[in-house]
Amino acid sequence: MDMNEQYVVQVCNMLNTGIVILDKDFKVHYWNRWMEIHSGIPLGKITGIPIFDFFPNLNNPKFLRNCKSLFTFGNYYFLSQKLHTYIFPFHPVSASEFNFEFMQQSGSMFPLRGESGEIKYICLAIHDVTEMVSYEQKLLEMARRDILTGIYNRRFLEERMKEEFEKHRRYNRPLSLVIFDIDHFKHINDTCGHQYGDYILKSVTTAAKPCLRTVDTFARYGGEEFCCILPETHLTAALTVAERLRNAIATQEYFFNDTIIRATVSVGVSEVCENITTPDALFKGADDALYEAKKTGRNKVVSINNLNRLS
Amino acid sequence: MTSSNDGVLNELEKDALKEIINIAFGKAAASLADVIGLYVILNVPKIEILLPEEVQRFISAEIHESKGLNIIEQYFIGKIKGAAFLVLSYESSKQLISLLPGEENKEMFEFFSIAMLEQETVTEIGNIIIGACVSKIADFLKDFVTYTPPRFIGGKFSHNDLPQKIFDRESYVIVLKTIFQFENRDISGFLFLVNSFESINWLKQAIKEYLKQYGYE
Amino acid sequence: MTKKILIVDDSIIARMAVKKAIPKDKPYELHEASDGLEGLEKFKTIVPDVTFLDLTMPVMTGFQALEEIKKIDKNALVIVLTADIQAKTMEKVNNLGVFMMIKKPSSKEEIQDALEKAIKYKESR
Repeated sequence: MDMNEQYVVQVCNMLNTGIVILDKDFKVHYWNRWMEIHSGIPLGKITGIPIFDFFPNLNNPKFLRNCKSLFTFGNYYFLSQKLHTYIFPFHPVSASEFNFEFMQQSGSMFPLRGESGEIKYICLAIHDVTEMVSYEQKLLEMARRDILTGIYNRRFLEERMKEEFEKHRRYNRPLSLVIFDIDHFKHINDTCGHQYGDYILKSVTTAAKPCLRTVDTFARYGGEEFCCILPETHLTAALTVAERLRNAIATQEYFFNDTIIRATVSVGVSEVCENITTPDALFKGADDALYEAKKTGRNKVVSINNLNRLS
Repeated sequence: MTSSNDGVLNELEKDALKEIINIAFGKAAASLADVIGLYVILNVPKIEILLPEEVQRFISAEIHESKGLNIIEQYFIGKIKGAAFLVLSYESSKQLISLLPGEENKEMFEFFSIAMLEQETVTEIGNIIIGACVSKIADFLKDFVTYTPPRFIGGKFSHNDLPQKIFDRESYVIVLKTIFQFENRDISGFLFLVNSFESINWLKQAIKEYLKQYGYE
Repeated sequence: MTKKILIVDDSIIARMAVKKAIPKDKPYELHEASDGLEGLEKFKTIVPDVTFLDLTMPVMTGFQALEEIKKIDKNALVIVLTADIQAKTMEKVNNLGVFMMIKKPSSKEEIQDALEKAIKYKESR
């Protein structure tokens, strides 16, 4: 096969992939046109210079460890976009609805051997995966969001719950759950119609959002049921949040055909504690408390502690 | 292929292979200490000669663990060709993250789920351990191998099909099993290397040369 | 005077390697064991002058066997043969009291040399 050097060099420069060759001291031995274009650094300027001089972000234990492995064992190192997002901080090529700060990249590294088979260099191949990541994010958002209200859906809620529980288990951080349910929702739908019911659902979430922090997970659990996972939060603080929620929703005015109607919610609150050690138990606790709130008049907040006192 | 296992390797060859692997793994462990900064012990390898369809049962039986497992699967192609499976319990995997030196862990937790970080860590270490062991064996054959990206599998070992282009259903494979332990004895796992029939011939060649040194022809 | 040498290694080949390295013209009596436990038993019954010990063995590892041997006789001369030459491993065996550590695969000369040194050391005491 006629693969002499001039063709190889052309291939390297035409490829829509970044190619960087480093020696044992991490000095750049070669860098292709894709790299020149996206970095703005011509080959002449970077040859023989340690890559960390231009890209200090690479000088981290993980990158160093894997390069060492490559030089020692001749294995490969795969850098996924998932964990790294980018390897070289380059600008995205085209705009995307997600406005990534940097081009999303994945890469692979492999050894290059000399005449006698010893490993002389390592080669890093970089791929621009921004477009793919955009699609992925879009799909994820669609899969996680409730269409009507725009907040998270039940699927995502259960995912987050597992994650928060894991954090709690690992670091012993407090975790609370608030569940609320719109009072007499069926009645509202029957008297005002389903479109109005939808309007109420949306308005309730709008009223609730300011009561929650960005680290909290707010999701629509069922038809008129909502959940808030509150990490790093004890029951007392969770009760305060719950009360604030209840109040915000109760005091908001909802317009229907020139009349103002009120909507209220019943709220149940629980936290992980001695008796509550699984996601299911946490839900059940809050659910039982919610049920109690409904039974004892609605438009109120009940916690698992209240339940214990009653039983 | 109907000949018995012993037709593939005789007792002496098996012993020689075990010793070759033992030496290869000893070197791998020493290099690993250097690369990942952790003390690793790679134990005596167990060698089995099986048909591809028997591999899953063998590995599952060796693992004994019915609870959660993290498995890294990687294929390698050189004179020796085959698959590597690195198996760690959930518990060992969790402890592994905290053991890795110099990790920028704290901030990572803000952006990534714990599950993903564990997955990444196990995959990275798995990739390196597999690379260490396979490359040292390849060294004996004066060969170097190419690798596929490591694949992370969570759950249990239920590998039904080994890829057709590497494993011929009719031919035997050599399975090597090693237990590895990290500094902290609670972190341990298994490494299984499944080598295809073609590899067996190359290995036999290397064994022959090794035995020559000791007067066995 | 006959010197007794015990070779403990689970590999036939490895034991063969040591046996072949030992000079035939000297009054050496050779014994073998194929795992740590058997090695320990033979150490008790034969009372060798020098013991060659592998580290990675089934049933009882070389580390454990070394520990036990030293309990029986703290002056026992043990030469460890191992492929695992990490600093930490060396530290561990040194702490247990090994005479010498040789890297596998070892050459005839390395084995002979180690054996001679061990015999000389024993005779000088």
